[in-house]
Amino acid sequence: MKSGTMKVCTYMGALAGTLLFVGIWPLANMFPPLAPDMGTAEVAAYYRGNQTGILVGAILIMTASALFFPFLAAIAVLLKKIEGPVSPMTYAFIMVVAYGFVTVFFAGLFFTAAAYRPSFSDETIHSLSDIAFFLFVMPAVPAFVQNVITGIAILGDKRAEPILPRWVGYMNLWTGVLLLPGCVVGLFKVGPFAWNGALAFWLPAVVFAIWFNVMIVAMLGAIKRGALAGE
Amino acid sequence: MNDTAHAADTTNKPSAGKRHVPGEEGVWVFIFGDLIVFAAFFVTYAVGRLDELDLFRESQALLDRQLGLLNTLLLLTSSWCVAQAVSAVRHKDPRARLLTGGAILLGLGFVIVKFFEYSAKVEAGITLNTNSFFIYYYMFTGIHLLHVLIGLGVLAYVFSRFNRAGQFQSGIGLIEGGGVFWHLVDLLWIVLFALLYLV
Repeated sequence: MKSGTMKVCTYMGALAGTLLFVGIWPLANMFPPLAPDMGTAEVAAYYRGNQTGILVGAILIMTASALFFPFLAAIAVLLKKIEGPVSPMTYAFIMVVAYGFVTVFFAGLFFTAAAYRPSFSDETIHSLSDIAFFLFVMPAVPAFVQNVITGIAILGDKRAEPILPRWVGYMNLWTGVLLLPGCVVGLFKVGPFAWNGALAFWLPAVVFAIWFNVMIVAMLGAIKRGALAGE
Repeated sequence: MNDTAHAADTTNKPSAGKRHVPGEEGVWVFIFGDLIVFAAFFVTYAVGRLDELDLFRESQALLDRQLGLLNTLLLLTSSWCVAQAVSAVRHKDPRARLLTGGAILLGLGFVIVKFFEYSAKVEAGITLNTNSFFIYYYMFTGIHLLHVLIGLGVLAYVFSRFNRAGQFQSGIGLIEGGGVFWHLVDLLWIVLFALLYLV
């Protein structure tokens, strides 16, 4: 029964989201992110003082990165169903998420590298830490494209009863636009658009969480309705 | 985009008896979502401004109010054109095409004015990281400009759905939805103009 596999893939998204959150928040203690204007010595001390938590948290973050893919594949299957044989949006979606979500894996990898050798100089640890945080927030760019593609595909559904509800399409467009402030974090060290700022971090984080949960519910609804059957 | 949702709506008139929601319900998910987020923007700005009131006042005095006002007028007129175009489509009036084209030109005017405004600022040595006020100025107006560009894209699509005789080839939902979004862009600009240039 194919709908069983689809359900498992969808739930994988929920599992991945949970792992990511547990990894980055109570374990690595990087949520909210370290302030970009924090001193180099302080950052290094933070990694040295919380080494085990960061290393274990990073494992969860990297695992989450891999587990997002079955979930994204389930979205791709629904988009493919919407588009039919000529499916540029589906292929664009697959390609853009393939590198957009890999950054989560690399973020975990750089957290590991930063915490791995406490004897390294403060500057080295700080540089690795910076890369890890950029890898977390910068993917707002591919995420924007991913959401716009998803939105356009859903709104292009010509069926009387669309595979995914049309408002979910509009929600994807909304999510895409609002993740965008994340792409300017390289310009600022303080203020609302720095990587721990209200508008470049908290807003995209909340919007992403909403998107994620709405997608899971909408996908399970479509699977339950048997939207993938027939034709 | 909305053709099918309103395929049944061949009369191009809102169904009588039932309360009519302009566009389609889904558009409003985007509109209200956007409004909530811009509200968050404005609150962040208001809090930041209280922290550095003098700096914000001095910086705000450097903005070009005349260009800001010109842009407000451009967008308001453009919004009016769209509203008239929607009404014209409802009445099968072929002037709808002209009105939509006018709205697009006025919107382009906004983009051009914005370009000159930004260039003048950069030439005067005022950039993104000059101070915390200008972070808000560039980022908020930049994000709004992105909305203007998206809106122009939507209006261009609407314009392409008219035939040469000025008849609208899609459901009324398309031009209504585009119009609602364009009004949102207008509304956000008016708040931005007041917050950044006037207060």
